[in-house]
Amino acid sequence: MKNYLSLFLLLISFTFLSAQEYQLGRGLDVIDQEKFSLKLGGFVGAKYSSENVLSMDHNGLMLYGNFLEKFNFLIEGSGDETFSYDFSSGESVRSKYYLSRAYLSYSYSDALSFKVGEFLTPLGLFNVAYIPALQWTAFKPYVADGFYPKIIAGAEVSGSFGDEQGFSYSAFYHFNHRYDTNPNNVQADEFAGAELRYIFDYEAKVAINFSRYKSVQSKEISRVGGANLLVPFNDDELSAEFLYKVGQWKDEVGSLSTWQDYAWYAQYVRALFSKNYLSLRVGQKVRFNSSKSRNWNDSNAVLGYIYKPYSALSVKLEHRYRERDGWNRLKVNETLLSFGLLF
Amino acid sequence: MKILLFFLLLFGSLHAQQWSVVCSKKIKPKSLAEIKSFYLKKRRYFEGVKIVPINLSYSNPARIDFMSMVLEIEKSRWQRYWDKMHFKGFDTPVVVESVEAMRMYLVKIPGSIGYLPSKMNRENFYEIGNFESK
Repeated sequence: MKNYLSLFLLLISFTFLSAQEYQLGRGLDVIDQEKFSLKLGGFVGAKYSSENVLSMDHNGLMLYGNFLEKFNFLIEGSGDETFSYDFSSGESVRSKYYLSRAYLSYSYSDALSFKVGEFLTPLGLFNVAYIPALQWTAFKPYVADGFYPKIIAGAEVSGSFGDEQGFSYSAFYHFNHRYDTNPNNVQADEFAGAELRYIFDYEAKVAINFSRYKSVQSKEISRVGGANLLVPFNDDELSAEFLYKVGQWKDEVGSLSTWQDYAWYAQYVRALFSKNYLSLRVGQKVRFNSSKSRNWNDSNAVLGYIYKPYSALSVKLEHRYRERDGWNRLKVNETLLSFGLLF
Repeated sequence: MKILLFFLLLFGSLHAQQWSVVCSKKIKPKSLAEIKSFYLKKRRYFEGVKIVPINLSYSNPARIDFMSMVLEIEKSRWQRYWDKMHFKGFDTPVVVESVEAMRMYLVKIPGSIGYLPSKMNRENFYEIGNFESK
């Protein structure tokens, strides 16, 4: 409680110190000078499920800025489900905050930028904007399900060409899991990949990506290929992602197991009227093992209603129907009420 | 009804003001597509000069007209775009409260880009295009 209070007091003091007028979702100018700028922002989210569990969604604080025109930096401390309370059993769970992003980037030109440190893996649509305030649904798509490490401790080269239309690219290398300061979904010793995008309007894009990683825990080597698409139509939006993974794993006796996963989703968001949206997402994840008895096919559909009184604040009510065939069969209906705020 | 509509349109057009999209003479963009990529910070340099896009605040109708006619972006989509950019560690274009403040920025900062009423003296700037606003 003390921590939350001191954080609140810190934010309030920055608000008074800031010369610029504060705007929700744009952070607070701590220092705003020609050669050096520093901004404080963050995000918070919470959800309440039909299983009677209230939990914090991903929440964190970030500090970022620019110096000497070409250098940018960002430091973020965050946590996922840092608190949850089950009303049925009366049990609560707490988890820690951690350093989730910390990087320095140098922009040589629009076509060539370098980044070093810890940052989000620059692949796909969901991974680079996964926080509740930026997503249309609180239920995560299958592509967020451990296809590759979501955070990198390494280096990235990126750039873009053209104006309204053109190509952009990102290529990265992750050095070693020992530099991870966060509970990454996959602990990889080596991880390299790239994404190439064609932008056909300022946000509309199609992209393909490829990556390969070697996991520490499971001693697996995986190769992942994917494609994604984002097409806005006025205030509506169509998005889709596809990922295909081939994994190999050698057990203690030395026998080789292989498996293949693929997952996809397609989502359409329709602006009903001002500040009110309806979303529909369908998706699937399929696994093929070398031992066929453990193959499965998981699919779901999420229907959601989103109210956005401000662009940085969303309240969502969504229902998910999920069905799994093959190994570990299940059929689940779940409803979530959630909110996400970017500040 | 038609007569009323005619007078409304006439009244509206009489009050419409011509605005010019201008930038400091250090940079010479050729098209409005380039302006769009500068305002979205997709392009941050022009021949080695750092671009500084400037906007008026939403209280000025020219801001909305500039966004819809020049950038061709709705306010809600613009805001969602900048929500994502804020999360990625990028700051929005500079926002100023008055046309005079916009003019001062354009005079003082090389690489700055903005919009001014066409009736203002623009001889210190490079003009890229025009739009109408009430």
